Amino acid sequence: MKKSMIRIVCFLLILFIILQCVNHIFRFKYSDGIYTMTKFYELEDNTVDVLILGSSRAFENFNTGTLWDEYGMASYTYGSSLQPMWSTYYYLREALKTQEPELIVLEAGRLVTNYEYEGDEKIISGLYGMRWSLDKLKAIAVSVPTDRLGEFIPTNVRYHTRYTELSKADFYRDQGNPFYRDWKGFLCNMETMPFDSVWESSCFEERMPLYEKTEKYYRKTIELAQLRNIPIVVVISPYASISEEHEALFNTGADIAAEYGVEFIECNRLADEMGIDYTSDVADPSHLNYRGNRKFSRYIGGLLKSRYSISDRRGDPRYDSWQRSADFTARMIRDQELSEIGDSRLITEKLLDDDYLLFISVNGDCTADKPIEEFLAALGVHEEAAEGIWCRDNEAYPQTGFLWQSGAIYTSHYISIPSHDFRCERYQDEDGNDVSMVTVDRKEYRNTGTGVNVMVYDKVTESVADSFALRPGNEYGISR
Amino acid sequence: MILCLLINLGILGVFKYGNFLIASMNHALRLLHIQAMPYQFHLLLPVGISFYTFQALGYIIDVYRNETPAEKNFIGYALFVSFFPQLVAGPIERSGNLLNQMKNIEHLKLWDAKRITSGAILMTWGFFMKMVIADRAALLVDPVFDGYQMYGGTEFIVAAVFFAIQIYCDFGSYSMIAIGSARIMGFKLMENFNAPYFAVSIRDFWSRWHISLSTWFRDYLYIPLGGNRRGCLRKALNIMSVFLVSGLWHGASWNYVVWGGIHGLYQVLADFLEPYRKKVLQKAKVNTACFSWRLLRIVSTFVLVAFAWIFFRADNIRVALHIIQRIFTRPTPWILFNGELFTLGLDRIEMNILVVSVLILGLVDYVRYKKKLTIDAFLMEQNLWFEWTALIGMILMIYIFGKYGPAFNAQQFIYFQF
Repeated sequence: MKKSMIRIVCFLLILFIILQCVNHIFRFKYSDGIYTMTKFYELEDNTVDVLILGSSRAFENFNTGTLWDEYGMASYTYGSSLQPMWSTYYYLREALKTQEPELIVLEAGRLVTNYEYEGDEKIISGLYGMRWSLDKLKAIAVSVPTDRLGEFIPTNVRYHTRYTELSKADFYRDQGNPFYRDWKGFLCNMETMPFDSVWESSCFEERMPLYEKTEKYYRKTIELAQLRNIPIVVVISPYASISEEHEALFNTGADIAAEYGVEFIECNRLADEMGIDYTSDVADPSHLNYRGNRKFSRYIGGLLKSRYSISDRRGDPRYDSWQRSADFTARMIRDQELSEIGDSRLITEKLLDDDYLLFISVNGDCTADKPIEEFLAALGVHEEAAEGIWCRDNEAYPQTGFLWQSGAIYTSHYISIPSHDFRCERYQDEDGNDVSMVTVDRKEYRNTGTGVNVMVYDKVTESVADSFALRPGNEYGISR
Repeated sequence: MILCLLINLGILGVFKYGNFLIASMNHALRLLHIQAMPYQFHLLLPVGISFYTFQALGYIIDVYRNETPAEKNFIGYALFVSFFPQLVAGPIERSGNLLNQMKNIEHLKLWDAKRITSGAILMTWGFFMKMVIADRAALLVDPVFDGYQMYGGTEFIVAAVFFAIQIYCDFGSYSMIAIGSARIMGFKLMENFNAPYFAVSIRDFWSRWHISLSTWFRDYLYIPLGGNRRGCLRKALNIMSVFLVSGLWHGASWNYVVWGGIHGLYQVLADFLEPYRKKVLQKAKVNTACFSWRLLRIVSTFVLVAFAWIFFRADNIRVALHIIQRIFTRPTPWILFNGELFTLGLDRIEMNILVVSVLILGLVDYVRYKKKLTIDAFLMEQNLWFEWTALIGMILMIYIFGKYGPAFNAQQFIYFQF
């Protein structure tokens, strides 16, 4: 009997380990919630000084990079999309198991939630990243109608069908993406949606009652922070679709915060002071973009720093990952700014960045085009009118700049780095035209047939930062 | 005995066949321009009523024939009739087998690793058949049969083949789980399926398909009717009677009766044509001792069985005839090549998973057919690495590819309705 018991236990153990591996591959890895928690659990205990809770308005508006660069704040945006207050409460409970922040910032934009349950997708992205505990069960129980609990627990019933959509991200640590290496929960929105006019909320004093469940967990969140003697501040970040109804709910939220002696900062009323320009700083009706979130974070960070005791961790080796995260965010913004430049005279200096790998290919006759000649010369390509491919790596080849170059037809060159494979190829098409082709992982980057094609690869973000073309006769204009 | 039989059959008749009988009579009366009976029973059909009624009938007849002593202990008898693993969908146990085991219940070893492993393997295989194969095949079968007005010949042929797989895996899986769970508890239930699609004739098929029911009909209906001892005509009549009743047992609908009738007819015709078939084979000097002949017989038996399944799966005879008509009048072979096949309910990935799973099923059945070993016996005589790899592989396939969870409407076992 003993032998057979050992045998069965061994079998079950192996099965358990394999199922854990399978779960690891199959589980959802949404960046708005699930991965936020995954990375949060990886943090060293008691390193987060500013814990920012809330919905996407928390993790898209509070730029953790700016808070670090400007004030040395070790912050983490801990939230999920459309996160209702009841989930926020359980997020806080979960966070306090490993962290003891100096300040809790509650982005309370979801005080507007006026329904009992969020959609399935949001429940999953909000709660499936949480480690199993009584709190997780309670969080799911409060988020889901009782008769539907079986659809959410156990969690694998939701994701075992993902075999049709598995990708590289499911098999690699940090999803094989350097973005997640030192990630602090912040998602920098790079879109721009101009708004000519936004409702003015400054003098609006009306009040509307909060939805009962929302108010209950709003209060519980504040009470939990106070129970643990951690200062909490409620912030509403600015957004373009602010309305009378929302503002009336926020006013009620401010009254409740005042009951607890908690500061409530309604930033829609401070947008001018922050310098938010709704024609350029907004990504969509609810979120700021990379321009807006930096302005907002600089402002709110300064405000919080002046009113609360928050450590400046810059230079502390324990907090190196915050520095790397801020650098990475800055790098992404630099790439975004690069991709928005529309004049070839303004882009060349940025292209000579040490961390860029440039692939410049020239097709067709460009001899008479002075802007193209100037552009190529600025990048070190002096062969006038020459057709060919130039691969420039400033960091590795500081003298010549070129990693490889060829004007000959029917040549190809392969460059392999751990994250990607590049191919440069020169050949003649069916019509007898010379073609210069650059591909990254079998995807071709070519914006024009005749003229100059440039593909910019960023070695830091390990992604194609930009791909554009200069066409003869198009002056200094850049086509994308 | 007659009274007992009448009571049992009466309950079954009222619950299962009452409305069917009234509807059929009304239909006949209407043909004679006679006012129909407006009455209908509004009763919930107890799950698995046909199974435990037949089990109880078997016991009564066995006792009457003195083949089994009457069970004096009511609890013991109740346990025999309502033994939960096989209560709702069989196997239909014989009193001689199950009652005897129940009487010796105190001699059962609580812990028997071999027995528990064997039961667990059978249950795992049952779950694999149901969740990975049957419920996946249903995703193609259901839309085609339910929307029969919209499909052509190839779709119906594919759907009929898939239904053949579905119903085998659906019913077979339940039997596996029942046998497995009973075995874990120490009870040995009779086998219900024995590689049925490896059958080389319809008679062979019925010796491998729903064995507990076919042997029930053999012992309690076919033989009492005279079996094959009263001449060819009587034998044919007996076969037809058994299969028509068997069809009716499956469901109170004429399409089940036709399905049973087709199987009966197959066998009557086979008996009738047997001498001519032998003569033709001898004259044509066909080698009947080789693989190709056996394969031909297996394939042709499968085709006949799959054809009959159309009547079983279709909502009624009219629909079944419509489908058969379309198979011949609306050929659509191009759907096998232009990708339309993958729009019937299973995309390419799902189809690949199904094909691989069916190949595994084929392998397991081949071992059963060739080596006469059930999957548990086969795996347990292998080296540990193979046994564990196969078992873990099966569990992983169920875990990943099994049809469960909110993204999928779980299919009830088809035979629960009978």
